[in-house]
Amino acid sequence: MVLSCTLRRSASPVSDDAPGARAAPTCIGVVGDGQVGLTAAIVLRRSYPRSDVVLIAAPPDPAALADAAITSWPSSLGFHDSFGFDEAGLILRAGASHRLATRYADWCGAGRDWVLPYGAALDPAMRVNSGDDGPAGSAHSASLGAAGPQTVTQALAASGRFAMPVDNPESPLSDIDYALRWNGPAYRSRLASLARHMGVRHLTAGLSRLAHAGDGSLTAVTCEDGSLIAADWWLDCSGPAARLRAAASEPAFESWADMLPVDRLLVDDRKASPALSLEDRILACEDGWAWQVPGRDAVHASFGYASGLTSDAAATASFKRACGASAVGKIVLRSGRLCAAWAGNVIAIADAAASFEPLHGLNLHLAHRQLGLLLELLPARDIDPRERDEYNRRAALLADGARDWIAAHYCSPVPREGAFWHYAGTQQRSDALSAALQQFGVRGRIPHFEDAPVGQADWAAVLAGIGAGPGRSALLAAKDPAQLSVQQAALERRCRAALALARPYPQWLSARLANPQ
Amino acid sequence: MQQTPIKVIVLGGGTAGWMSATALAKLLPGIVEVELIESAEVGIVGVGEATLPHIRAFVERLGIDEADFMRATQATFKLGIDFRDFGRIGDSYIHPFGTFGQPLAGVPFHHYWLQMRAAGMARDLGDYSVAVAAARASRFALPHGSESILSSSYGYAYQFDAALFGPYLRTVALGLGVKRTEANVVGHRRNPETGDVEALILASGEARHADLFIDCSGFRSLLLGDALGESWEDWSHWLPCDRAAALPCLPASPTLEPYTRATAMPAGWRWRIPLQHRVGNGYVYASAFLDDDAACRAIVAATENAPLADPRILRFKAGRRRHSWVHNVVGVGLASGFLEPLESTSIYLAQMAITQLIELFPVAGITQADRTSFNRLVDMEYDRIRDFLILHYHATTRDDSPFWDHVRTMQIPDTLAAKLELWRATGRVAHYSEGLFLEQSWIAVYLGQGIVPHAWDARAALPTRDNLAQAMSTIAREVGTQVAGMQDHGAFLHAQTKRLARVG
Repeated sequence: MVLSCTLRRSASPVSDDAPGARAAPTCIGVVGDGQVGLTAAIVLRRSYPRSDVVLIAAPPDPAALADAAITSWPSSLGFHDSFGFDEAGLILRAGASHRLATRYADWCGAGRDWVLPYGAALDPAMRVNSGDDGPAGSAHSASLGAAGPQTVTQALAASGRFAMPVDNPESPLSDIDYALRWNGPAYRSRLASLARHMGVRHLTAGLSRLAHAGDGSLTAVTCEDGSLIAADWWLDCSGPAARLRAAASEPAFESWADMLPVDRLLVDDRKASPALSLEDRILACEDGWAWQVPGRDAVHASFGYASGLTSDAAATASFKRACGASAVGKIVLRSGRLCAAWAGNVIAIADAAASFEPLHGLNLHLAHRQLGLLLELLPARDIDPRERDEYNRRAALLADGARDWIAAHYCSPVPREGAFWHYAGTQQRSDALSAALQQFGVRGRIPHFEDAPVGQADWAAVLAGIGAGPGRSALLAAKDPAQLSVQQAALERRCRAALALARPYPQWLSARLANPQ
Repeated sequence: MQQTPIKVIVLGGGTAGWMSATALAKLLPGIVEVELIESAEVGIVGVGEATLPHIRAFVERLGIDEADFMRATQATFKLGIDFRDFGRIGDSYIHPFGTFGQPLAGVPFHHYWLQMRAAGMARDLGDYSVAVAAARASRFALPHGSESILSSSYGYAYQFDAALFGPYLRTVALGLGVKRTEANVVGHRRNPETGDVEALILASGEARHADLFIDCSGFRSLLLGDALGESWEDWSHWLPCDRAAALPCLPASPTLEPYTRATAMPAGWRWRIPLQHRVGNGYVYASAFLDDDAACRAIVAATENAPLADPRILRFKAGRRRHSWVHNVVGVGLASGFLEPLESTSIYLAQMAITQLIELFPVAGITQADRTSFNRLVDMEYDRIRDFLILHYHATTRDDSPFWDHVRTMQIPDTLAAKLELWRATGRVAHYSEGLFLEQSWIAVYLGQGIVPHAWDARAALPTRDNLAQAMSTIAREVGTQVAGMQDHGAFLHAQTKRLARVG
């Protein structure tokens, strides 16, 4: 039996009366040792190097989509950096490859593709807003009827060429932004060794019993091997079952079933041959979508559909037609979020807090944003209820922002054929989503959303992609067309210059692997 | 663009009116046709001698040369506001246009500062801010984004003669094709079906039609308030100051301070704003606690040098119209709301409304969604600034006058109470990415007015005291070096004669 340090909790370094830094936790428990729980344990241990951080295994849940994710968004790379998780290691040892863009194939009908590129390349002059967060230049260019790539990243993705971004804003390469995909087990194993190196205590025996205090707070857990862990507070990274949160009482849950159409997911585990591509592809099919993520280990595919409209057998057939994939796993999704991600001394992260269809791999990105928010409002040994309220307020904004951006994909004014798309297009829309559709439709503008997990450029790309705009704002209409074509020409020159500096991705990657520096 | 331009009438030729007309004409050429109606019989309030850094982007967007603009309005640079006697008589702090220190390991600087302060080892918070240190030394340099973290850790605004700002913009606006009509508006006509305002009736009997009306008629709020009857949300129970006695004087010393001073008084506070050739002074007071004559005597007594005129009384009230965009009328400036100039927000509020209107400009007819977007944003700005201003009064130990007793003990808005509670318990600032005053501003006022949190981030106790002391003194030293490399503010201005008004 392992006795946690909390049972010999030290006295607070400051008395309760004198102002002071709050006491650091003695012990923090993290339940769920998938990639989210591992990451959480590492960042907590980094923040509190003298606190005991105990990571407790939970049975892997295939519906824990942030844990199952083999890719995230560009900002996750900065997050990786912040806890010393090096990108070079992912490329050399976790089979990582680069994504510059995602292609939405047939999304609004056969042949009607659109692309969501990462990276800025928003010529400041193209922005109508004077602020930092103006609408996307690409959307405005689209409204001018300009053909061809509207960002450097898109140009590179289209031609299969790659270069690392540089710091100098003069260089067209400074516009580049990318995300990584990786081999799941290798990524997780690298996190596990970093956690070990950092001194995270990783217990592989699962939970068996939970003990609560009179006020409902979770005081200790007993593992299957009999070890007892007492902690000041807990992160619930156990997936949608939210095992810690659900243990005390059924937590209040806000369902998104009437806002997001997909409630079933098929996954393909057949080892399709590896593929190198800078683009992911999401193919719209009659009864759902098929997402293909090319990787150095395999092409990973999944298929999202609505169980009320399509039987599992029919979905399996569609999946096979769409990408030759044979479904080996079916996941039941329950879209929604906990009304309060943090209750008592248990903080739900990732799918335990918010669960939704993995369109464009937003799940792990959101989990990283939640962890970032937690680090900003990091609890001390004792929980302060005001801090908890502030966390819950902002975590709700993050989750709702993710939901709205996913839901936006289904708001095309001319949706493609198929019962699924009709159903998806008639689902409820939040006020924020309606405002975004209205503003973008009328004047190509994305309203400012506080604590938005998705930036305005990514919003604009989706809304332009589904054909919900962009309308022309008065500011754009007032611009001198000559000036706009000068800007457009400058952008095209910049794209050409970037192409000349970049190399075909397979070549670039070989060179990178041969010379890790 | 071959469409018929949208006809816009701006009612009122004060600061807000000319700001609106200029911005519309400059930014929406070909889209709008702007007429401004003003009457010489109506005086202008000319509030806002001190501004916020946001005005720079506005002026730049209008294509106005900064030096030319500064020369025309006798402007000086402003790095922040020096608040005196607010938290307690004898206290002073500067709310800078800039940051304090730098975050360490992802934890904001002020948590470490609180930690060292508790150990008796922290210097004044302002010693870790370039903007504060430069203001105190009356030095100035233009910030440079690229040189170092510190040289971009601050911004600046202007202190100028508000009575000259409107006329300056008028010249710009007329050059952009704005039509100016000198007339008294005696009535209006509304569409019986839609309720929209169709035309303004001038004293001559002539009707002036427009698609969109911008009400810049000041407190009279002729269109939004009178014509459309939009109700007023009164905030005087939280912000009781409703008058100001303004009094310009000559400067008493050759030092030209790059900051505004706000000094708490028994029934309010007084401003001191150094311009190129004169100093603006004024006593903002609550008439429920002080009569006009006493206020005039107080400002005359407090003024450092010979007054240039008799005190002038201005009347106002804190609050806002429940909606700022109703039908086809948009209120900008005082017609839409007012917050006392304690944080120099008047011109910002007008600028914010104009910028939003231009963003949302209704090319193809006004929709309720546009009005809702606009009103949501304007309300949010007003409400958040309101809370921030109330904090200046409420966060005090002063009990030396009935006025301070009132504001110290009054019931504050729930939104502010929640922010204060979070700060007191954890040293954290409620986070918003929208709105005018963000984390650094709240920290400046909280700590400047003696609201020291009871507890702060546990991570601030992790570094050893020696390491932390060393890191903090490095920051203070670098701030000192940065400021030592700046010129005296007056000398900086005089070296740049293109920014200087002609003497005399």
